[in-house]
Amino acid sequence: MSTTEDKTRKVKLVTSDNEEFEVDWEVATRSVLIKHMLEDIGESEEQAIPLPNVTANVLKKVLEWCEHHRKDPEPAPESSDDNRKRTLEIGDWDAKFIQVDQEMLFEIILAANYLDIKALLDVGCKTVANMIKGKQPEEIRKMFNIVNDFTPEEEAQIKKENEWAEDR
Amino acid sequence: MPSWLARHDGFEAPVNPPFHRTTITVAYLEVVRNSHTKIGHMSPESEVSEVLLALEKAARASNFHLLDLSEVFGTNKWSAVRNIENDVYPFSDDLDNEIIDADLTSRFMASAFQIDAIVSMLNVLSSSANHIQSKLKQTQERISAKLSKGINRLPDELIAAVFQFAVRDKGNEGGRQAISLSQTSRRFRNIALRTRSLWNILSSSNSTSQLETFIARAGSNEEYNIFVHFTHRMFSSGIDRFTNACRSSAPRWKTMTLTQDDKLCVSNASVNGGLIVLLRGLSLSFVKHGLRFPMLEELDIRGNTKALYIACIRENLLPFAKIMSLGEKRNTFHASSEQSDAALKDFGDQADGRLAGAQSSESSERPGNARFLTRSG
Repeated sequence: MSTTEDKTRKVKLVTSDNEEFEVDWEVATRSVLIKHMLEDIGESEEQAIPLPNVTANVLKKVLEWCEHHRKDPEPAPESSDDNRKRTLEIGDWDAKFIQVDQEMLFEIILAANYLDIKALLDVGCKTVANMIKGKQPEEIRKMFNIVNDFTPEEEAQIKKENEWAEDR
Repeated sequence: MPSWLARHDGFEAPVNPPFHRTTITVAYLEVVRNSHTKIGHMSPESEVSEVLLALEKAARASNFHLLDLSEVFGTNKWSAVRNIENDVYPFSDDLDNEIIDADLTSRFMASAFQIDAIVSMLNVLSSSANHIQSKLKQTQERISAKLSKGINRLPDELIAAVFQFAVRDKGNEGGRQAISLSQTSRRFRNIALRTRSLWNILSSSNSTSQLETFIARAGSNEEYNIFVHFTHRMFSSGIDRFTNACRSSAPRWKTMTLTQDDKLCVSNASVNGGLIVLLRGLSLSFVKHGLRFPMLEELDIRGNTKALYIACIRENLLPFAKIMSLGEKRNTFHASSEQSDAALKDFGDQADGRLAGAQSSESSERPGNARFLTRSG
């Protein structure tokens, strides 16, 4: 549970390329990783948190998301029911936020995963899922520059999976 | 320099002129144009439109490489060809022996210069295009590398998460989506086959072998989402085929969604019977195979609810109340908020009554929450 003191506190973050960011505690702790690290080092410390897996340009983008979502309630623990009802819907702000090139999109996903920001990770994964949805294997390969590394024999074999029911 | 050329034009034709720049080409064409004014209307520019048209035509042809190029380029219309073809066959191998008189020689050489000039222009254009191509190629390769690096950098569990989102969102087409993902590359296939939850959507649109494959891939612990879509082609044999193929998974069915083909005419009484036929067919098939659904939590019927109710009463069918009462862990059964339709409420009440017996024997702390959803189509 955060205190009033926490909310006014500033947190320093240092990226892999040695850039330092000073942000509000409330913004930084959207990341469960950072939150735990802050708990570990104690509240009185002014120590900067090193983030060796995130570059400055990616952290800047991630912090933009955290800033916008700073007041969001804590995500509820996920149940299998939630999992079943997952949709690809993304809020308007998030949809605009995630309109980045593929390189940045995957960087954000990796950073959200590393920093343990579940909601941002979902936004990233949903965006990629939206790109994939309804596409044939060849279209997916083209979109992500994936090499078809099946042998012709393997490909012939797996294509047998494509037969659909006659009475559908 | 050939004497005929000096005699007619006073112009020494450059051999393989080094056209590397457009300015040089323009200068050269100027010379060629001036040199040919005495011969007739044979400037290279007169052919340019034909060449451009031919390029345009070729670009629009989907099978350009299979085309007869002389036809595409319309070379027989070019003045360079027409200028001599009345006297000699322009593409003869023995042309030099056939060209004897001075006039024909002059016309032939003019044609040859004209073609040289066009080829030079094309070379310059080609060189420019190659230059742009090589510039773009580098960027294209870098972008491709980035794209490839992007998806490849994601660890398997994140790719699996992406797959789950994509498959879930496709509803009854989830199985098809899972298949597409598994056929993209070896890595994607390995991830897809390891992610059991990708294969827990069983739809009546899947073939029997697909249903069996999905159940095998989902494994013994996965909960299933069932989609049965009634179409005019899905007769009782189709319903039974589906039920039979899925029977091993029935104890772990979590949701069941029944739909009917929108294309079926609403005014036709048999449409209302569409879902009824489906319900009856499924009911009979479930009984035949002795299926029980202890984990079924949600039954979603999407059709005309009032008609469904009337048809149920008329045909004395409450098949799904019976079916759901088979659920051993069932302790609650309630209609959804969509029960504004009185008929639906009656239907729900009756179904609830059917379940009362099963409910009374259940432990009250059981958390099961079966929902009965019907939607007006």
